Amino acid sequence: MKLFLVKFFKFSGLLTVVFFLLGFAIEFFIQKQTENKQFLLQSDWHIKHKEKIDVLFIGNSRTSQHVDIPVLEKDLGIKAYSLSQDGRDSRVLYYKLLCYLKLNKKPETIFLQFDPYFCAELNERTFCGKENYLSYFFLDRLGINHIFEDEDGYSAIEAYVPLLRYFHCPPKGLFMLMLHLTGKSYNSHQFENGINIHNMNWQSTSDWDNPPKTTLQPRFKYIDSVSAICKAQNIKLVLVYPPQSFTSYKKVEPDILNKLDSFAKVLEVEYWNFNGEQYNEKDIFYNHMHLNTPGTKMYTEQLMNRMIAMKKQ
Amino acid sequence: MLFNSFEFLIFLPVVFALYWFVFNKSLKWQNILVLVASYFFYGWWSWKFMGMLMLSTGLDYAYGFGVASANRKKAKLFLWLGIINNLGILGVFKYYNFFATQFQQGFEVLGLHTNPVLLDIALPIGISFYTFHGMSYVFDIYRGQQKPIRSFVDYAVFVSFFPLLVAGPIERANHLLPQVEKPRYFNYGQAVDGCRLILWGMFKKVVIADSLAGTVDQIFQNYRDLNTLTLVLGAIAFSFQIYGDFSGYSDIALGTAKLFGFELLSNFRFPYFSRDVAEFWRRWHTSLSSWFRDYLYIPLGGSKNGKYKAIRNTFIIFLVSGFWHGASWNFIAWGFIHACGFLPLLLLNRNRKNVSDVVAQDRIFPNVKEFFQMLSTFSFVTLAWIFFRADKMSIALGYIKQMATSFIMHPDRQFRVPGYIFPIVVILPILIGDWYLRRNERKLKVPKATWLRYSIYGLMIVTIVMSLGEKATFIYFQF
Repeated sequence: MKLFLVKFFKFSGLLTVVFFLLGFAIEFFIQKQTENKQFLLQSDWHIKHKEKIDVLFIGNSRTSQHVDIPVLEKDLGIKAYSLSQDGRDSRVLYYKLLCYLKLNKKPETIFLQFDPYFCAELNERTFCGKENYLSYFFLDRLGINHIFEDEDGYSAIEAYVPLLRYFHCPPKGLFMLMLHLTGKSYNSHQFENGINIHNMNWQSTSDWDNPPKTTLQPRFKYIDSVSAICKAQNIKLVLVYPPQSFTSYKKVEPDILNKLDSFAKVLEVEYWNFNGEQYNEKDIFYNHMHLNTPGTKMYTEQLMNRMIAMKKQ
Repeated sequence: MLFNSFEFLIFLPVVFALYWFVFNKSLKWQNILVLVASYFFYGWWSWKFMGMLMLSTGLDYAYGFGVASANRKKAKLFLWLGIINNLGILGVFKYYNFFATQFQQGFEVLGLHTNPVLLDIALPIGISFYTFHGMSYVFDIYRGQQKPIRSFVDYAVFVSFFPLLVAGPIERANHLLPQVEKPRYFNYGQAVDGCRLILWGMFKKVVIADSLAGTVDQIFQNYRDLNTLTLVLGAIAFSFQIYGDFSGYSDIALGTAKLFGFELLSNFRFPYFSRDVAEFWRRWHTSLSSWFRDYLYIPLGGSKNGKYKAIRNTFIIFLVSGFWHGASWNFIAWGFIHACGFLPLLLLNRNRKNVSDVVAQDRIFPNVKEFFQMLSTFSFVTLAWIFFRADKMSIALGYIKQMATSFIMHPDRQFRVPGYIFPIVVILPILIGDWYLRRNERKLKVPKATWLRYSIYGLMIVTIVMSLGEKATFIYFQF
């Protein structure tokens, strides 16, 4: 028995030491890589701008892929940034905004995505898709971990235990993160200055005329929270429903659209809904939800026109 | 609690420490500790069904004395009481709704409308296993192979020993009870073997089976939109998922038992290296197949009363075995398919061909003939697994039809996420590992070099921990 216990504890101890040493080494490698590849991963939770950003765009892929930031900056003479995260909902971006405001000067205006897909709570198995931000939270060197203290699924210990921090990330978070870092991302987008434009034609396997109905009921808890922050910090908030194909827009339950309208009125903020007949061509989409390059160009122009008109008021 | 859970990580060392350091001086107290720990383990799952386990245990314990009576009529009466009691419990919880629904459908065909009362009760975990423990006890006493045991604690430990309580292996009274009744002494070699089995079992369950689960679910849920290759991949992935899951659990059970000085019956002997269906059933879930052989097949006459009766008994065994797994026609169909696969071997007297040896016994690689034998057996077994995995017969048949007719490799009909590579990468370690270990499932072969051995252990542990996430339950818990 003594021999068994001695060998068992020796092995466990050695394994723990090796795990921590290796773990720290891998963690620092990940941090270095992600600093260089933040846009590829959209894991810009630690972004620190040297200059003040005038306009912040917040949303998911329907923000990151629809707004051409360099064109906007050039034509309007402003500094803009797309603080977006593909495939995520308002809860994730709310926390991302909190981290951003902790590390950066507040912008003058925030354009917040406001549609059923962004407002609905995604069925996240763990908090916020941890693999997206864990690399930045190691040892809490950015001092922003406390922002997540009360969130279900976040544990402070995750800041300190190397590699094991990733074990709750789906799917197999560390493995996928390493794949991304080696450049073999399964999501190969063409990124340009932090935004993501698709130069593709219509890709969807579904017929243009038969998109699925949208019945997902929106929840406004985090939209409300963003609104509260903006009021407290005197930031102008504009809610934006980005374009989707008009064929699919017509399949959004009217009840949902009414709720969006009503909530915007309750918040007393401007609400820009860009959907309409002008977005009824396959040529400007690569699927029902996402514009391609010509579509992004068209939308960015419309967006800029409204921003100019807003400034004149 | 699950074996691959944080709770078990605390539970096991605590019980181990109490067992070998506190209660080691008294066999009686050691057995009481095991019993308490086993009920705690079971109660963690569901304290509500502890009463059922206690009742079943108490009744079988009592019947044991009746069955041991010198009066054969009385003995037979108690034997039947034991059988009816255990099958009755199983019947009510597991099969009542199935039969009620089938009768209703039968009456509908005759134009009679009925409204049967269906039971809305959960299936108690482990019921298919501990009822079979109880039945084997009364059977063995009736046959004179076992004496009724005086100590209720000892008997209760036999029924509810926590490593095997919820998913087997199905133990025999004359195998486990003597170990419960005799003092156990810590054996270094046995404990090391136990740790290795736990590690290998955990690897198979967490890294292999759980990794494949998502792929299998997606393919089976969307089979109508997928092509032949993807569906074949799905079936193969399920073959390895269920093997990794169940054999992994059995290895953990065997390994855990070894830590406490017990040797349980083997349950898996590398079944996917079988050269025919008969050999497969000597290697897959052997505790169940041997139980049916000893308590159903042989009492029915086995193969001793002519070919016709041997065929009849074979079909009975396989259909009952299928039905044991679940109250559903697809499980019965699974059993039927295996019976059909076994039948040619029985008719040609080739069902006892590969009994004592393992494939490529003295070689590193199989020869061409052996390779094709294994491949054809695996293909047959995988085809049958489709019925096991599908929720209903219609889904199983639809899956096979789609598999047979969708040869066109349309890109949209391929399974994209996570693709073909991921399942193959996951399956390879289990194939290679099992091939290396195939000669002895109870004492895993390990490299002699210490540094290499410990590196492998370390790599496996890290991989297991990194693969833990959302815990999937063991598939066989549902039986």
